Amino acid sequence: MTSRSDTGCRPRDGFVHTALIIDSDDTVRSALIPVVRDALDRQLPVFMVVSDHIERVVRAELGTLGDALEWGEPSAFYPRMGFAYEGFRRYLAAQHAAGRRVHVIAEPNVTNDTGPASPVDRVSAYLAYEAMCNEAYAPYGCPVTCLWDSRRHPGLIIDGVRRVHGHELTAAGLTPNGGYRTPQEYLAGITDIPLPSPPAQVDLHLRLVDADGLRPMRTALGAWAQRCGFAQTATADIILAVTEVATNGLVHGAPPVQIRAWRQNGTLIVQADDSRGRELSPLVGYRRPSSTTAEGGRGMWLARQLADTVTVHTLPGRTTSVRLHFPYDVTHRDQG
Amino acid sequence: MRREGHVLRLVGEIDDANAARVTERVVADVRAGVDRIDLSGVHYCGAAGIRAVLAGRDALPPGAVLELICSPAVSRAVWVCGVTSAPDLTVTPATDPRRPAAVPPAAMPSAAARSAGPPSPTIPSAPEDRR
Repeated sequence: MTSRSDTGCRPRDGFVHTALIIDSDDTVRSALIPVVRDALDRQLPVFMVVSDHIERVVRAELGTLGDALEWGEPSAFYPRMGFAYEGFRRYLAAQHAAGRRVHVIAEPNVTNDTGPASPVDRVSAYLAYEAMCNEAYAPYGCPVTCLWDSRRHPGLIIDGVRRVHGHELTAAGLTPNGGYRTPQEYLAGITDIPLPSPPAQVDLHLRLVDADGLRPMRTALGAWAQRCGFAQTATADIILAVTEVATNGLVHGAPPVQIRAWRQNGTLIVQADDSRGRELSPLVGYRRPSSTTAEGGRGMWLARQLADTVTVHTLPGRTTSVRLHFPYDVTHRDQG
Repeated sequence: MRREGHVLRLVGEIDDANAARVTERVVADVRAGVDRIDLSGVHYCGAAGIRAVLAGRDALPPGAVLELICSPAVSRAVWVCGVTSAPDLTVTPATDPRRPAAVPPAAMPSAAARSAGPPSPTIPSAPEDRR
């Protein structure tokens, strides 16, 4: 039980990205509670963004001390994936700017809402952002501990969780994860997965030969999204994200760029296929663009922020496909 | 695109089809003294539009600040790209898309965000008020 302080990786040492795999409420009591108590003893603020269930378990253990923790609303912190990733970064940046160190304890509220018929594995997609946190959150010096419940997520996901967190917290304390992959390594490993074929019948099928096609494309997309019941702000986000990937296809790929749009279980899906098939860097769109330069590099960032999930696949020399997913609930839950 | 005094007013959509033209105009006008770009009439703006206004910011004389008056569409792109925190740049949402830019600073709800710079005495009046 003393090894937590023996590892040299106590949260006071700065940014440490830790996974806590929960298989029972006992894990919360034996592994998490000592860390929380330790932080409180050291006057380190603790910011909890966890499910109601975990909150109840923690509060039952801590009693009135539970009120000394800061509690965030999970639905506010887990809207679209890109917003969740960037929202936490903005939170950490604000703490850092205020000279504050906070231990963030977060339970990603990410599910495949539509069950096995979900058009994309959102939880797998989220792990890519978890991988990027290792780079994006590091400057702010705040420990971040992520709770993943192995009763809710399959073994493959839990294996992935271990690859994207540098450390794991158990009842024995904090230990480095032997299977940890850097963001670059992790993301490079997930880009080879082909996308499922689009349906034979799609709602929209456009072919852009140059940038003059972007404006009519936006008109068609807007009418389609509104016909599908999407609100004006959500529709504007779809139009913006699709314009960016279509533009990338024209500029960095080659025309013609095909745009196909269809619906699946309450999710609007738009795919752009260019005619070049040049592989994208695995990190493209995950790194926050600099505002000090007028250079490019914002298109895929916009797409990854505004869509819930973005999947990419290249057939070298033939086509690069970028597929954007806009689930109704998530796209309307938070406007950023 | 229309310049009135130190204000350049852009209307319509900015995308890759016209970004080069818009960028060229923005840079030329900033070099000629424009320090406010009124984008309240821009109803589409993505990465290409962000690049255009940042190119304008880069063309400023030393010590100058470029002010952007943003429609909701521009505000969205600017916010997502994190441009709000850019140096040499202030970003002000347009409260009423039809008549934002020429409203005296004191009358604007967001005047506090602009207080870092001196109030501009030479805001052109009526014509751009009503567009």
